[in-house]
Amino acid sequence: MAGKWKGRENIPRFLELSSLGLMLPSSIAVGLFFGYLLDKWLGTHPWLLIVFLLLGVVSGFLSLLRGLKRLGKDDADDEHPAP
Amino acid sequence: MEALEHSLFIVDFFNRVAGRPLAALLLRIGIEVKDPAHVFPDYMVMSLLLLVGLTLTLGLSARGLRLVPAGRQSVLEMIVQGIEGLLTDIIGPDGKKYLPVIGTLGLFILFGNLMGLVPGLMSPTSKLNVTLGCALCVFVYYHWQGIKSQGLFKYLKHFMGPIPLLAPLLVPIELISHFSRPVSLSIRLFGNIFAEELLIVIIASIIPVLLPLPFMAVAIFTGTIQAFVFILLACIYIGGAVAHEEDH
Repeated sequence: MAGKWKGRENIPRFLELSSLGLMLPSSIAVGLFFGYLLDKWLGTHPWLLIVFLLLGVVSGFLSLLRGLKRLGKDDADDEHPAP
Repeated sequence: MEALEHSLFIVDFFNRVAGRPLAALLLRIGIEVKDPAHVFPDYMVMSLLLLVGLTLTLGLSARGLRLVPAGRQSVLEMIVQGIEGLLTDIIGPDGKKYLPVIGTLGLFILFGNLMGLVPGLMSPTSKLNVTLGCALCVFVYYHWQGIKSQGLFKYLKHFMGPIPLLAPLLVPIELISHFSRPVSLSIRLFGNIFAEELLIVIIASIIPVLLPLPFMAVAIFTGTIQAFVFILLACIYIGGAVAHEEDH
């Protein structure tokens, strides 16, 4: 089955790349949710909401960058195979 | 698919048979059911149907295995080898031990997605409850495997990052990024399958003859792709949790 279609082994990478798009909004939403819950619990409205929203944005970008880094590493391995 | 307009025959039938006993059972533990005819929601009936169907079909086809596979056995072996290859590619040679969980999830989601194309049935995965259940299974499972392979303290140390001074900043960021994983997993699957079913229903309500067919063909494609994406991401998460040294 291998070699039947040239781009075959790239499919998981494409799918992983397509999954990165939802990383950012879901991180922001989770951060917002945490902030809201903590605010409600500690009564610090609205400060923790803002802080956790920013942390959510940072965490979203961080996971995005990590995913891209991993995909880029695979790419580099393919282009320059280790001797 | 017709669930938008009226309830499905199988769901009604199941509720008529098993609704009252369950309502009585729930009353015993203190939950009062208002409408015994609608105790089981449609996705639950469909999940049960899928569970029983998959167990019976796959269990029966696993009988009479031969060394040289033929017919259905070769199809099953192809599926198992495909998932096994994915696991060893992403996690490494140790990945084979996660095959039961990943394979079960993959088959459940794949056939759950494709089920919606059969008239009279609907996709259980087009409800957020089912996809969130699957995503939470993955979430709990990969943390458990991470703790099991590295020990609790070492695993928790990963959340603090490389520099101790930055730990108070990094811990919430890492926590958010881990909790966003089940959210994005479940929303992705639910959104794709729900949208595809809704699209087919709308197209079929405009022109019921022939026009829905290309959309259903696309639905087979997206259903397979989404099942694959789900298990691919589950593998990546498990791989990240059990990896020992690098900066995951």
